[in-house]
Amino acid sequence: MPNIRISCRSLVTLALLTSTAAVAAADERTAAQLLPPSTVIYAEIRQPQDLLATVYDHPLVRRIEDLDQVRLAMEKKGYLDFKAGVAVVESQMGLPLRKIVGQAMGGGIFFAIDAKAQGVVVLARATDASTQSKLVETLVNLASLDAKNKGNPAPVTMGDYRGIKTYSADKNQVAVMAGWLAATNKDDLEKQIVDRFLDPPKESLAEDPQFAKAHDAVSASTTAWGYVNMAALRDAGLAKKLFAGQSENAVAELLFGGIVSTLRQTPYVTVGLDVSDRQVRLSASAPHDREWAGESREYYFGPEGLGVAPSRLLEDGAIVSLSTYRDISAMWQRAGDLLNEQSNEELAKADSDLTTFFGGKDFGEDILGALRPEVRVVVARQAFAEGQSAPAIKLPAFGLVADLRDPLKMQPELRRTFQNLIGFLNVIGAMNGQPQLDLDMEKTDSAQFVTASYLPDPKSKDQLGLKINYNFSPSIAFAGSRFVVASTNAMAHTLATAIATNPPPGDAARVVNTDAILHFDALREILTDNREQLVAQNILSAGHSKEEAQRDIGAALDLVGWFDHLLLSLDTTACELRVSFDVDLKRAE
Amino acid sequence: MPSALDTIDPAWAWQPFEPTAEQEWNRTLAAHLFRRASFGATAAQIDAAVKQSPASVVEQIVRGSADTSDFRRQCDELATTLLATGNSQQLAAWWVYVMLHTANPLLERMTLFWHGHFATSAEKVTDAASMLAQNRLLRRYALGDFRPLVQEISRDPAMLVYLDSATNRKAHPNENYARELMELFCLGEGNYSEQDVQELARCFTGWEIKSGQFRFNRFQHDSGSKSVLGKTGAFEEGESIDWILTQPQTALFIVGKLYRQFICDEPTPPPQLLEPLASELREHEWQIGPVVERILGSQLFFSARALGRKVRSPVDMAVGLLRSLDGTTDTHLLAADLEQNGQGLFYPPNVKGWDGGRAWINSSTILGRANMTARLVGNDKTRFGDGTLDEYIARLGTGGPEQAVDLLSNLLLAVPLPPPSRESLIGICRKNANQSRGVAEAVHALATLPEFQLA
Amino acid sequence: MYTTRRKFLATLAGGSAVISLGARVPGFLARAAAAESGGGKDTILVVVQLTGGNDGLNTVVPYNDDEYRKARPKLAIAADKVLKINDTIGLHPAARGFSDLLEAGKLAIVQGVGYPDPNRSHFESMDVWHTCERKGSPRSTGWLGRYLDASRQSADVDAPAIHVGSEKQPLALAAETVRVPSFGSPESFRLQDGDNGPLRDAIRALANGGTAPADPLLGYLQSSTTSALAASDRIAEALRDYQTPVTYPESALATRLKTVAQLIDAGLKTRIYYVELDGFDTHSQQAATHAALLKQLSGAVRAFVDDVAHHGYGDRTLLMSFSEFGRRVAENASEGTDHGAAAPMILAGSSVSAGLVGEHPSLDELDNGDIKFHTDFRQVYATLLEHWLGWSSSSVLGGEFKSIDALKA
Repeated sequence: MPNIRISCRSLVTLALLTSTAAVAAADERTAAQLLPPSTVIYAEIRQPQDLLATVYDHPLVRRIEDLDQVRLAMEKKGYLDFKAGVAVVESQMGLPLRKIVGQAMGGGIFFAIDAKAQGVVVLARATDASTQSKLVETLVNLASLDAKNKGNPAPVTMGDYRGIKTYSADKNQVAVMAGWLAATNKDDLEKQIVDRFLDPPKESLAEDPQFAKAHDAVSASTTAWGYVNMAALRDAGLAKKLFAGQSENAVAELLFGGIVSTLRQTPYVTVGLDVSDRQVRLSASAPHDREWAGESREYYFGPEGLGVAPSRLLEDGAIVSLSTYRDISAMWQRAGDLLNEQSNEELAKADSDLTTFFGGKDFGEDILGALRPEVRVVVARQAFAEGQSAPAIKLPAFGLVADLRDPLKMQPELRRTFQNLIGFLNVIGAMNGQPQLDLDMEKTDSAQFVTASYLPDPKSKDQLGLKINYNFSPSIAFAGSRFVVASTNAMAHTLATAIATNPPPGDAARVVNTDAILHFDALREILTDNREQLVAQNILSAGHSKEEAQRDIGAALDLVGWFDHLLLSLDTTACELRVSFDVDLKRAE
Repeated sequence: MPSALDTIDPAWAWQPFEPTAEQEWNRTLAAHLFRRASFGATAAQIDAAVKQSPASVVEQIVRGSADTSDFRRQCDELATTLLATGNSQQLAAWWVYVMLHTANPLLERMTLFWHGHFATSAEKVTDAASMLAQNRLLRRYALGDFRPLVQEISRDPAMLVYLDSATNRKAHPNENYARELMELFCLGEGNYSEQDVQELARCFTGWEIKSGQFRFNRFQHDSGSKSVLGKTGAFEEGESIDWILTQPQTALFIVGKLYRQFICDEPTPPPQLLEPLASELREHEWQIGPVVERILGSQLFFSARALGRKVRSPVDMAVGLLRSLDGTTDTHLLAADLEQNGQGLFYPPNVKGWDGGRAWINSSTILGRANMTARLVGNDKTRFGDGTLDEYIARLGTGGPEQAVDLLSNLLLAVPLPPPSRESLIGICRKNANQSRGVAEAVHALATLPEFQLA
Repeated sequence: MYTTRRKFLATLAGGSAVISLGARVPGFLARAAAAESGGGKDTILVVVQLTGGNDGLNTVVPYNDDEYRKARPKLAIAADKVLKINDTIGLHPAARGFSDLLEAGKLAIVQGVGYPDPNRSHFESMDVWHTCERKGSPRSTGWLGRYLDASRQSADVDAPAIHVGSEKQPLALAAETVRVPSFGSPESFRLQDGDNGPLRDAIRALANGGTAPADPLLGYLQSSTTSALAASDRIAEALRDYQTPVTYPESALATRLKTVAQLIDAGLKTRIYYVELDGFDTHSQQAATHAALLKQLSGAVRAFVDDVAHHGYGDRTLLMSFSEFGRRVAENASEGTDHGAAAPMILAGSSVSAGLVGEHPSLDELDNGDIKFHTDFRQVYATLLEHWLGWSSSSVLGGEFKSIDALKA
């Protein structure tokens, strides 16, 4: 018996090898060779079975599946139906799903959008052509059977184009060509692909030098990769809003204005996704020229595109630490060029209100203009001392650090402005029955502080918890040329004494514009501080019992706990702009 | 339909209900009782009630389920937690939650009744803590002694802030609270003079709210002699309130409002019909519970003069739907929907509270009410017996669409479902059955029926 | 002859019954006055509230006045920039929509409107405009609310007034018995039927079906449901099929006024619509903000007036805008202006007596630095109540106020 068994297995292996070999012999074309040169968006997953394995076997996914809610959801009808469907396919094919995917699509899955035909293409390359054709047939049969049971006409019609078997349903076409499966939603496009497959190589996406260059640079380990031909998109008049002259949202302009200026001129964008057990990394890059930002967006990348974000402050303990180069004052004053009419009108109104708020100091010019463009922002959990009464909702403290352009002149100005502001808040607060802020000054060896803290609430004796106001003790600090503005006194102190550092050492050719980190442990702590509130909100908004709500919130907090940090950065070289997000998971215990 | 109430014999009206061959104690009457006294009941609760006598079911409803202390404590904690947001809309969502899950729904209904009676809106009283404190006060006396309720509400920070009476100086007595106390809280219009208002206002001088607390400022109090409703005296420390409560009109005014709450919206009952209830209130030393029990157990309550003769309030409509079908939902959304339909909890429209009756209805609210039900049933967060509505109804073992529609109309409708409408609903139920949405769509359609507006 | 009789009836209805404040006009007299008055039964009033205190002096500008230039060294509008109405008065250059309407004979500017002993608090002054009552008197109802209470017919099912906006409902609409719906978009005035055709039909059939029940309460609910569904369908249809050659500017106010135009076109019996535009509290850096607001306001009003005229409701629709106060004559140190007193009001529609109504208040005689009023705002309200809505004004306003000549006779 064992002997026979072994021989059976080797036979299968042999058959597999030969069939793969046969496919390889029949066609060594790449997906790009099958696609038309007018392809504007291209994406590939080179090793689908690896991705599937990573996802299926990922420790995080297994932990998610263990969550009560997910387990419950997996017992729901929709999911059970899906599983039943999969089981039918598996039994008909005689293979488990992962094997089916591995054999029918193991050579890669490719996705493309063609501008000329205005169509979508999905290509899959088999490692075993027969599994692929069998899968298609099985699915077609199941669909026909289902339609028949419901008394509907057969949804799929079979056909033939130049000897290649085709299936069509509505406008969708599928062709099966010896190991290649091509699905499109346009008849023309389908024919073109089959032609490229049958005929000697002709003009295709693969011959586009721009594409070829980008594609050659992809690392072999990259899980998924995408390419967008921006020049063609612009020519085709797609995403008109993005390419239009002026932004309609001031905040979006501040965050993305520089990126948009590159997208308006760059020939293409590539996106890479790397998934491993410990990390998910998504990064997008585009050819870049420092001239492109122009004068109006100098606020974003700095003079000659060389504005550098300083190093991040408080690496540990912060929830978020962000550092960026952004000349907000310049943007405010350049708004006329950058924003459309409506948002300029809104900005004008905001400017008027803020100017009132800041006691007549022009907000864009005097307040924002006092600061240099290297800005650092820190958000961190605040500790409430034992025995000290704490607000019932505990917000994180936050602060901003920037250098003053003219410290001698600006320090007294800003101090007065701050004092006026506190007075203004007290007047408004008094009218609304809010507690009052008490101003104070403080001097240490290295810094000078102006702080404001809420006077104790006369009603705080009762059990009802302190108002949300008590999260704040707004403060400013001056340390040399450095200016700190913070939501709490403690944060102002921390930031004023945090070590000043020069731009981070490193790749001199890479200019980091924005650099931010989110620590999940710290995030989890602040959420845990507010657990009771979260549970209460869950009870009301999900109609849960207390136990159910606690379970829900517990699971959400657990989920946050599995992550370590998220890094976000935007940087440029003389010829490239890159945005990347890295999410790191904690090592599984 | 009888409308001339003069023809009703008051002695008969308030006698305990005795089931007869014509008026049997059955699922319809039990559903009516739960709809009015509670916020509806599930099929199982109605089945259990039919097996008991009407009087004992009424008694259980009024005395309340004994074992609610755990729930009460949990709700108090929840409210305290929510106060941290300082937002009274959160409290509205909280109250909906309490109404949905309490084992003592009559207590919540009566708390809501007093909220409409002593109407105070968070629109003006921005301090959520004061609103919650008032809510707790109303609940404490909801079925208890009316006298301390009036005394305490007269010193309630939210109330006095709402009526601009947070300061009341000797030199300029503020008439606002004095007027509302007589007009809206105790006597009703026409039972006092302008002179009485002015004199009563003097009694309340020096009653102040400072930092959210009541305090008596003796320097601002007018301790001179006043003449209120025919009696002269100093009327110190709330004696004036005691005096108003001894007026014969007061008991009649309060039972008149209870009558409208529990029996029917219209027409206004003649005094002789209310007199037995007023005597009952006085005899029971102003305890509200016994009077409510008498009303709920009466011949009149179970007669055609009461059945289906009220327009549902938005709260009755939504909370009633959910409680009848063992439902839970996103109470933030529901509270916002209630406000949209004119019954924002903690946000009554003015000092007179909600008018009720036909005032609930206009072309905008008719649509809004149907949409509220549609949203409730269609929302993923709404679960019936922890599943979908169709699953829940199927679990009750109803069989086909006919049985499902009959069950729904027993649970949700106060008047019989006209046969053509029944047929349509069955059709809708059947048509959507294969998407497992038959019952949900039927309830959606049911909510647009004029019959659904009645309680 | 006609006018005299109308005035007689109105005076009779108001004067004879209203000796003490707040008493109700006997219904038959009021109805007689309504039937006879210039305003038909179906006239519509659209109120646009300008929240924050609009700078009337820079809206309707006495551009040749030396005092004006002296008081506003930085904010004065140059004579060559104003949109001239006559040799002394012109409109702010951003109020192009208003000058177009003026040219078309569809805009009246009532100058110098205010009230005695003006209050400079936003809230207090807004409450005065809404309720016509000073602090200290009971202020639970607004002027429009009192009109709605008095004019409500029990058979009316359509909301008598609609507040289009997501703000808190204005006190002006607060009434004893009538409840005014508020909504941000007309979507909320639509029955949700899940766009499910069969269900939609079934719901319509159900709600409209059946014979009239014997029970009057159920009968009332039946007829309310039927007409609400009909209104909902009309609105849905109006929204779906609404065609207009008028291009509304892209602004919040324009969107709301367009909604109002659509609701009017849907044939609702609603007679009062209320919308708001906030942001007029221009204490600093006023020039750009105020220009943007006037551009938005006048552009939206112009589009609205053109649109209702195009759909054939021009003769039935009148728009009134007001603000809780004007601003001080002298500008402040932050290139803004502070809370003031009297200001102009705008009326728009084909029934207005176009042009300036009343004199521009003198800048030589100020009241503590503020413009003095010569026309009480309640006179404008009285004019609209008596001659547009066809209702006796004295009970609504709590006294007799003389109408002004702002509408076509």
